[in-house]
Amino acid sequence: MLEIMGLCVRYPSGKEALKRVNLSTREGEKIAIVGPNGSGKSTLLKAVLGLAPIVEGSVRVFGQDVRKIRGETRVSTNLSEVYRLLYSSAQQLVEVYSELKGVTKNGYLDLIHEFGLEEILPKMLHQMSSGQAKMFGNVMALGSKPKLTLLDEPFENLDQNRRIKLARLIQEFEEEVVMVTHEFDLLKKFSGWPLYFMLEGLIYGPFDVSDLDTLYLSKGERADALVTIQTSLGKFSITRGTGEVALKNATSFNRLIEEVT
Amino acid sequence: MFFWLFLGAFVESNGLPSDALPVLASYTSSWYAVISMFSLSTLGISISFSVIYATYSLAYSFRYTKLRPLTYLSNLGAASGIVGVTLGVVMLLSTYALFSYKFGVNLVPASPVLAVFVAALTGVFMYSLGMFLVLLLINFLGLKNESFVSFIPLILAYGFGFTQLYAKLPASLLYASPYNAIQGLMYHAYSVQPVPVQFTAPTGVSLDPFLLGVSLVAWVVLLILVDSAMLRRIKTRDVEEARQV
Repeated sequence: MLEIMGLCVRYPSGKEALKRVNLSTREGEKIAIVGPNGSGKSTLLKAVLGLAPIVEGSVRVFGQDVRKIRGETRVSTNLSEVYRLLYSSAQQLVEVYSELKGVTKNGYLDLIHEFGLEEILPKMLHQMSSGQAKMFGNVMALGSKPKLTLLDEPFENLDQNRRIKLARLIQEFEEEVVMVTHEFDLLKKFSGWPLYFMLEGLIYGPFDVSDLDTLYLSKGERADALVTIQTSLGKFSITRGTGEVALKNATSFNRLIEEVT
Repeated sequence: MFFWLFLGAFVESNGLPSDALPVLASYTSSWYAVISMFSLSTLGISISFSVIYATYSLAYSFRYTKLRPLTYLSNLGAASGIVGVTLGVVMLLSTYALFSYKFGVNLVPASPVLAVFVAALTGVFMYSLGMFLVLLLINFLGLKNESFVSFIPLILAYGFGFTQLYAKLPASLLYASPYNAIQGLMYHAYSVQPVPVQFTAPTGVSLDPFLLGVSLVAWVVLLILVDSAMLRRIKTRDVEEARQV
């Protein structure tokens, strides 16, 4: 269970990456967050993981403040930067993290076999291709069967077969998932999931992934807008049924904004 | 460091009476103490500075795995202790071989077990000092100062080491300084003679090896506790911040 209230993240450079974000998930719920590059999606996950500087607001995981939380093994992520504890091969990292998570390494190894990733086991992280590194992160996120999984762009740099396989695995995963992506084409496979839009550090929603078939994005403020989005490029409206650009035709949020502007 | 031992055995020793065993033992012990302390001072730095590459992993692991700061410190500290033992044995054997050959007398270390134990403890001390310095960089000062900070343990070793060699410092200062505690214990382990306040004047005031040991252990415990507290609050840093050019 995740509870984010009034979250503001500001980096030492002064950039405000998240602005008063509110988001909460129920037990076992799976949600998707979509937005263009640089919108703050990854920063949101990093804030939950204790990797981003929170200046205001609170983030609670299973009722515990993430700034004080210790030893909570039920949370996992696919962010590769958290698996650099030691200069070790993938095999050694699997053994170390399975012990640190208090699980057997079978969960990780089963996924590695399922995705045909045996070749990465003797490799160091920097020796893997970007696709291999991303899949390794996904394996480390899902292999311990956590209660809450935070997935940052899990399909990035993957070949089509692995993307489809991974999408099915995530759909069938029985515990809570917060998935961040900018890829609409794969997102449509997660029908029934609550969907949030993220732009310039602000979050809008929830909608439903199946709403992608009926939602439109238009420039400006419209009277029939379900939500009005304020950005540095101006205001945009999300409407149902009519509008300038249909979300169902977009392959990514980056392209969507380009088409409307 | 072998260069310095060679210098001590074959160059600096000219003029020493070859038949005065206590003098030769004291001379050999002081060289062993100073040079071992210098060589061990660089020991923990590379291990502790590896934390710079793991700030994100540590911040995540302390929150979302069973890893505890004290566990992390003790594992790497133990590794430093083992390396300290290895280096200590090498320095012990090298000193014995070079100085015994030069003087034609069997200058066996009086307490090799104590010498090895002190080397292990020195490894742990140097690691925890290195960890303290690197956590200062990560949490407060920024990684741009990494290169300079990595030399601090060595600079301190040379400063304290040479000072005790040639100057007569107050005993209280020598007891308080972990570097002088290491040197004094190494001297005592090799010779089992009273530890002089000034190595080049061994017949003067002497130091209590037990108190030197207490001082060194106290420093190790203090540094580990401070390191644990700072590690718990580790800030995430991009390794690119350390780039100078």
